[in-house]
Amino acid sequence: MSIGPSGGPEASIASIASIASIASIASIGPSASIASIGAGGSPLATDALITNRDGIAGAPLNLNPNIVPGLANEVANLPRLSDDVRASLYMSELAPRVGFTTTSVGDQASITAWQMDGLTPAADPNDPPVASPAMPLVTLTSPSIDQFKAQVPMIMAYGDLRADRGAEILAQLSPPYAFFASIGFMDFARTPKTIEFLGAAGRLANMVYMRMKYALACKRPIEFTPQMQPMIPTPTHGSLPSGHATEAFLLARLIWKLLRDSGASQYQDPIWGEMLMRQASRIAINRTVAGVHFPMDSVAGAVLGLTLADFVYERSAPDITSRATAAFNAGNFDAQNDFDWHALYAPATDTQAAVSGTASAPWATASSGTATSAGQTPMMGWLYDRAVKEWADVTPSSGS
Amino acid sequence: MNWEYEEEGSASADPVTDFRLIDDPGAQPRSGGPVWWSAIVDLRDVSIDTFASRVAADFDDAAMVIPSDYDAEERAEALDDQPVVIFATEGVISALNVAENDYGVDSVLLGSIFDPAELNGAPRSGPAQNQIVVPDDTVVMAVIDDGIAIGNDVFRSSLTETRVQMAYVMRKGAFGQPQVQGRMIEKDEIDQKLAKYTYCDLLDETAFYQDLGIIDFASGDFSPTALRLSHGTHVMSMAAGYRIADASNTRPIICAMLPPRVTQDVTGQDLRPSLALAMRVLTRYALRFQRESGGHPPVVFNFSYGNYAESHDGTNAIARLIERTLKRFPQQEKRLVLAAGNGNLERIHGRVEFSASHPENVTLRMMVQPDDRTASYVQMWLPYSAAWPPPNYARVRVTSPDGVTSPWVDARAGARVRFRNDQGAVMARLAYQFQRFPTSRGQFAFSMKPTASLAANAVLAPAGEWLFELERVDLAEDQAIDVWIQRDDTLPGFAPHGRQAYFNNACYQRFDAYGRPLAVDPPDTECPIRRAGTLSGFADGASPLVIGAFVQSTGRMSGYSAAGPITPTRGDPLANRKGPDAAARADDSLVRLGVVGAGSHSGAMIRQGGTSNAAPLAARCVADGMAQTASGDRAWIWNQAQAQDVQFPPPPPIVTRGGGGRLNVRFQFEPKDPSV
Repeated sequence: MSIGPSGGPEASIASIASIASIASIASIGPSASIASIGAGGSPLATDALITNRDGIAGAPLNLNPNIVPGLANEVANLPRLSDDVRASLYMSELAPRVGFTTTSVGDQASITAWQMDGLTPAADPNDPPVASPAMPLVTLTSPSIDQFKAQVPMIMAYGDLRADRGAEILAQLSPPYAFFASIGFMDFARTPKTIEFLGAAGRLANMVYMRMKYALACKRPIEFTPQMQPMIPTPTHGSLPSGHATEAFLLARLIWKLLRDSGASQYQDPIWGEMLMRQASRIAINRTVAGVHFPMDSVAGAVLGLTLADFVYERSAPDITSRATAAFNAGNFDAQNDFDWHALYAPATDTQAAVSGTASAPWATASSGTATSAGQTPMMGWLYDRAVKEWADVTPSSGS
Repeated sequence: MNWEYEEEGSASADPVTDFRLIDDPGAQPRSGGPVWWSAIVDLRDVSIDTFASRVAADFDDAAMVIPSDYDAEERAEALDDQPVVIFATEGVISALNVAENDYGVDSVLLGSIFDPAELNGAPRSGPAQNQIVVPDDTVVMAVIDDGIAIGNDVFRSSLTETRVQMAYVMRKGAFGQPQVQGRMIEKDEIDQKLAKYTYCDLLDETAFYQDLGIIDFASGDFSPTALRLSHGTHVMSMAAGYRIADASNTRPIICAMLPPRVTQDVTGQDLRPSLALAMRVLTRYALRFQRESGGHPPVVFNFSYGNYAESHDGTNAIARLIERTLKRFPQQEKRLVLAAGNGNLERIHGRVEFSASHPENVTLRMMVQPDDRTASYVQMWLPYSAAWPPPNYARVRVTSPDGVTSPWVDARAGARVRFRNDQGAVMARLAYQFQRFPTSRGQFAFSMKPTASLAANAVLAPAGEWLFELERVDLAEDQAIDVWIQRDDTLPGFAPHGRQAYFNNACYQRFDAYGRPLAVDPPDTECPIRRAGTLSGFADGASPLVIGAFVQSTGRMSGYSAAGPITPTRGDPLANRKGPDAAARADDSLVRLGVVGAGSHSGAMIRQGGTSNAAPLAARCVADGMAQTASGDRAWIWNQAQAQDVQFPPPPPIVTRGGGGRLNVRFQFEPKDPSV
């Protein structure tokens, strides 16, 4: 793996091309490339198309085609768009609904991601649109240097597991779809829209956690001791929150929501959620084993990922008016403690813990507010509707 | 660099202890404050109470802790042979290690450095010493190992109920009240934690072990249970693992987890005091089990550890401790199963006989590897002698890889040479010591420093070929000197520190005519380097059942499975064993090495090889037999192996490697009813 301008391993999730990496799950190729239809775009094909036209087009016609305008702003267009175009469109709905504010007191930095609804056109089309009020989404604060120092021995001890976990750690340098696909049955042929949905969520998460890492500027373990010697290159971006933890818990919770919403009977057992969370936790902890993250980074990443999952869900599923809010308050976290996702989330009810830690000084909190109207956006709604159907059991009418 | 001969008269009780304390102190991790050690001291004709009072008279009262497991009756008894585990400051240990001291200590076997905060001589707190009533056909399984995943489902009888009655965790951690090296975790607490960390009918195993202090990354200590494969989990699954559906209430488990930092270094930090303490604690605990109709159920211990050196005549401290422990509390039958060891092809044993081809002088060539971060030791044991002073059987000199030859060291008390570098620091030492009681044999002990270190000021010994010249003085033609290199390799799963030295005489034939490793010495070989006599140094006692390893598909002994014979005790006409008592499956086939057992996490099945796995399979057989009123002793396992051997292709293994024969043990996790 190179350390290129891509910005580190997590950055790769931002590329829609990375979705194709799921192909490696079963060594199958991605869906048939347009190139295979006629080598379009290649110099050879272009030259051939020019001579071909010369050969068959004939003299110009005086043609008045019977053609109607395209459907404006209509999701019916989406199936005809390429994957990367749709990916950009999903981002156009999700990204503007998140904004950031930062504060810094002494050595402790803090960042809040705010959630908003889309702009509402003014009554007079010549007036600027109306912005909805922002509601807090996630607030993260940075731990102190002493807290990080206290976790260095823990990372060193985790290092004993490197030989054990080496294959997993290397495989998880790419987005860990294969690991989740080993629990939820995902495949390009079977669940293309689910993969697209998770890709859209991952792109949003990448933008959010990169912004938060930038604001908090937490140093990596490699900067605390020359003996850390991580087994993989340390990404250049900040340590907290862990991008891998964010992505892993985001994906785990979204898959769990899809399974639950599908209505398939076997997926109503909370063991599916439990196992997805175990997987997310394993991915997060592997980054500590590798020597590139503190356990606290995983805690913050899990808080962020779980909450972002709710955010994406609320913009995708129908008739949801709730608004998730969570916070990680590093100052209250005992650095002697390890990462334990059970303190943050209960799969059986798909709820985040209201308070993690003591009631008087919690290190994480979560709650849910209410919006005045449902948050579903047209394109994410279209995508989710198709994704959730991929998990429902097939019935005699399914093929119609 | 030069060798320096030292005058006689300043003898130490144990030359390795002396080397570690005086010549090689930099090998041990140290922090501020007095340094505390674990050790086994051999008391002779003095009670523990008297010994303790003598030490207290010369040192601070708090300079030595004797574990609370020694009760008042034991402490008051003066025996002619009593190995005792102690924890003491370096000052006390040094004083005890002087030959002919006034404390009644005959020898000191040094363990490892301990944080005194972990030590407490007060009686153990915890639950009342209640009886545990069990069905009459119960056999208690007792396993001593490292990294035992007690929450694994093969040790449970239901989702949230363990079959582990007690786990003695010998590692530091946030355990509240300190106790002598570790903490006992009992079934009630284990069950409570199982319930607490079970979600959706699945145990969050990492959280479970972290709560119990078995996995503790915050301490910075190694947590072997966090690995995919942990030695103790695999071994205990062989001995006492069942599927939950087949779990029996007649095989309760008690176990002890040795401290990982001790097991991590097989020479610099010696595990034997921890082993001794573990055996004592488990033995006492086992007394709590009561049969419904009265009396105690039998206990079958398994200990799948070994080393290479020791006297191999049943008189070393561990062999004697084992014998004493098995005889302790005679109202309860106890058996101990040991691994034969894996040193058969390691070239760690030399048998020096002065034959016609070399009547006076034999040279052993030892290759010491570079990047060996732990000390290396060689023990050259002379024959038994009842005479006092003992005869000067032979003398030895050493040549370093640089070609510098030491003066001769004779078999006389206090004789020793030190090998110093140009700055005067000791790199190696050869010392003679006569271990009078109960061994009554002389030993040339060679100790050398690591060949590599990351520390800036470390004194290192040169890697390369070291020569030991042994010259006959009063040794008879039919007598021999047995030489062993102590174990110094890296255990699976642990960070590399030690690298095993080995003998490299050209006469040693490694392969047969077809290029396969020779597992048995060629007949009538005159080469001093022998596979014979590689049996684990722990496995030379009279009572333990010692088990070798074989390949199930071919019936051939596994190449690594160590061989007898051993030396008769104190000049007896016959040794108490010729080798292992039986062999058991340790490799499925030549390409499927190892056998499948439990990984650390529930549901994981992983291969692990070695006599470590053969021993617990045999222990399982012994328990099954004892549940059916069989004696389960050495003769019984021998007969069982002899009877089952016919199920394998002939020939049966030679006695010195396979004892009575090959046990045909079924796969350990098969359902009880094969039709299921």
